[in-house]
Amino acid sequence: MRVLFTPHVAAQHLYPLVPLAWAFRAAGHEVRIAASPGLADAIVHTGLAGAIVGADPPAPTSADDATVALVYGHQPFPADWPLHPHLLDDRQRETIEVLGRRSAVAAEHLVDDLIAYAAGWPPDLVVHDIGSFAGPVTAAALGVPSVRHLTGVGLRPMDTRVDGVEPLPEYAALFERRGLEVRVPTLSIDPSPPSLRLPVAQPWREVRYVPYNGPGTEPAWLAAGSDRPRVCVTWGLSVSRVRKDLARYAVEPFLLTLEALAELRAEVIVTSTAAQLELLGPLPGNVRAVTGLPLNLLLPHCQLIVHQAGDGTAMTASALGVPQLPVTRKPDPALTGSRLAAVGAAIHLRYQELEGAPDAPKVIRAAAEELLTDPAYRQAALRLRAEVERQPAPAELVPVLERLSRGSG
Amino acid sequence: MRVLFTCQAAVPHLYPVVPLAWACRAAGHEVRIASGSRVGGHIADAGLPAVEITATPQWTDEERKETQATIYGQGPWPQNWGLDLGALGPERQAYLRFIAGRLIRGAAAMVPELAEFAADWRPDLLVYDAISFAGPVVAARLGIPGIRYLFGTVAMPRIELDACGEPLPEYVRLFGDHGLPVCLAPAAAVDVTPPSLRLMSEVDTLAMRYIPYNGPGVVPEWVGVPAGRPRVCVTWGHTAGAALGGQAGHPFRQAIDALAGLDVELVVVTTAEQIELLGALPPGTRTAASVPLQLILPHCDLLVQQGGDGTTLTGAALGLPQLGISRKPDAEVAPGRLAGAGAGIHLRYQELRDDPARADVLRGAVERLLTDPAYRQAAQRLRTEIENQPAPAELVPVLADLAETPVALEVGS
Repeated sequence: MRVLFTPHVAAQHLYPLVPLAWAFRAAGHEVRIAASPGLADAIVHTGLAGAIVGADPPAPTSADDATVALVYGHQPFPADWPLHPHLLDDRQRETIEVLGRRSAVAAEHLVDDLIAYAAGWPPDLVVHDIGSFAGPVTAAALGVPSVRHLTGVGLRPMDTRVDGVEPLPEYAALFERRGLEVRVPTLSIDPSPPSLRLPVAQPWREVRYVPYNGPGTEPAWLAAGSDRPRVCVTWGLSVSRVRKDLARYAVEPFLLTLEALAELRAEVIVTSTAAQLELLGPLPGNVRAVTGLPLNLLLPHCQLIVHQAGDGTAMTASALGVPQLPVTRKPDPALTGSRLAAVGAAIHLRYQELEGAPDAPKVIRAAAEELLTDPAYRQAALRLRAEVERQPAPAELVPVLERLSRGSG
Repeated sequence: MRVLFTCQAAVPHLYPVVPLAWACRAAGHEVRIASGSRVGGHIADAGLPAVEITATPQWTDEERKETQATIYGQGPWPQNWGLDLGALGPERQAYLRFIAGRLIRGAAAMVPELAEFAADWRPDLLVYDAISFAGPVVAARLGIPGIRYLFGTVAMPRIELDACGEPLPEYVRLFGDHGLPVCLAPAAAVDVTPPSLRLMSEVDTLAMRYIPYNGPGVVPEWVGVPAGRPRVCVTWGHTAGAALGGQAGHPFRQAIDALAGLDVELVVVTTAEQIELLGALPPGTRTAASVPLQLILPHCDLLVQQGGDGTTLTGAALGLPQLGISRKPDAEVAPGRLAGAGAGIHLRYQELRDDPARADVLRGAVERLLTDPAYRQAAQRLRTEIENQPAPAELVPVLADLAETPVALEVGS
């Protein structure tokens, strides 16, 4: 059969789909990954066949400053807020719903082209990530099922208002403008392990998270080992995509963390992109900065990871059984950070609480030392890993989705 | 489980095993692909975790030239020569011995680094391409099952054995240098060729459906626009340009010129460097640099190719009639088998080169392939045959079982 994958235009939305797409390929099915030009390079490096459609959403301008300030400047959300949406205030609701509105803008820039492409290469099934609204609209236009793939714990379904089933008006408008009936995904797929998981709408399926974090080669120095513990520090992929004068929002916690770890007796490995490293400036002496080294190759050699709690980073560290120190600033990563801490595999720090505090570096360093020395964290991380490994592999989902496409799922 | 793959540092050896490596990963297993630096970027481009082996055999310029001159200096070989090596004359046997010697020297250079990585990563299974002999040595050293995969080749016999099936002394030494008895029997062999193209079957062969992977890329926009006349794809793989330089393009340049007079749309698909070797092309010829064949062939009516294994199988998997123009012994067998299955015509460049009527020969072959529906029907049969083989995903549980089977140390001669 033919399966059309369409992620939101960002590598971290593409990556979780890659093992499932290859599972289809390895089972003999045809696969295309369709996205706007900004994702072409990332798609090509998955080895999967790409189809480039539509246009990228416009880059953020100063008109978006208020939004960025909202997302990065909010006060901490209530714990496990998706379970208690009534506890959110208006500003917090707005902070969540703004994500869905931005997804609707991105979808509008490519959906007509995607529908035209799919008409010429008619798929039996559309698989889209949680941030891609073009997926369900295209599936509706073609009359085939659509499957929504979550990226992890933090990003929650964003096609409805925060506290209910009512579709977000911007989501509904994508269908209505094309004379289509508004629909929800036929099925959701959740790669988060049971003890981290938050509920999604029925019907849904669980899947084992198989880390794919971009292309790369395992360098020889990694295998050679180190006389000090290795601590990986990463801030994901989105930092340098924020408009440059706003990048400080994302960079500040990163820099504070590196400063805090400078005196840690450890080999600190920053894995990042060239653009991000440029934003960071000079780095402390115990830091080895690398680019193009995917986390799934690096983490088996590390005793700890310090990160921003993006879904892909947190899921990869969970799948590889590494204790985690999330330092969060946005609501979705904060959700992940607190779930990881709740199962004992992490210490979660909120930047809002560290910012401006004179002892902030000490707090971060103490957390890192505790994670490195108390074996309970490693044991919890290994339990989490075992849980991830017990989920059905992407390959096992293929027959399920075959049945779904035949209408007998 | 952990599966370590290793192959020659060239894409024709890497590409056929990419879907199996991903099948393992999509089933939740860990994989690494170890090969020489030249191919590291291509492994990463396939989305797979690469391990770089930096040591390479130190060939002198003379040795390099000798290798290429020997391979491309061969006249036509007998049909299906791999079936009866004993019937080959002494010169041809010396040729195979020469190639084997080069491959064994390459393997010897690779063994220490591969063994070091494997000792650290501790794979449960080692999957190696049929001529990457570092694979069986390291598998024997770790005491884990080795799986030999035929990289789509219908041509390559067990080149490490002599015509009587005995291991060459240098192959025995390759193991002996590491204190190991020579190991001749892999735990299994994976074969991606469909039954009617297969030349010979090894014992314990696992048939696998060939899933075309010809490198990364995006679908070009023009493929969706009908050409209004037959579309003929001309390609000659990845490696000839590097091996032969300027003269690599000659057979294809001649084919393109011969076909330019026909009412067809010509699409030339190969690497940018190899397109450049062709010089200015006839007007109306389309070029596609480094676009994977599998994305273009569904929109073509005929494939003209060099007899490469991956190219042949991709054309076959997509049900296309093919014209194979070969110029070295291992590239003769695949187009010969295609012709035998009725899905193609096989021409030898060594014969075309000196034929004053070669343009007519080429045009005639292309016209027959485009107009006689029997070729397309045979190509469709071949496609169905490929699709009926077990998919890579179905092989994964078999490999997992093999990984748990204790390895009996075999004492060789």
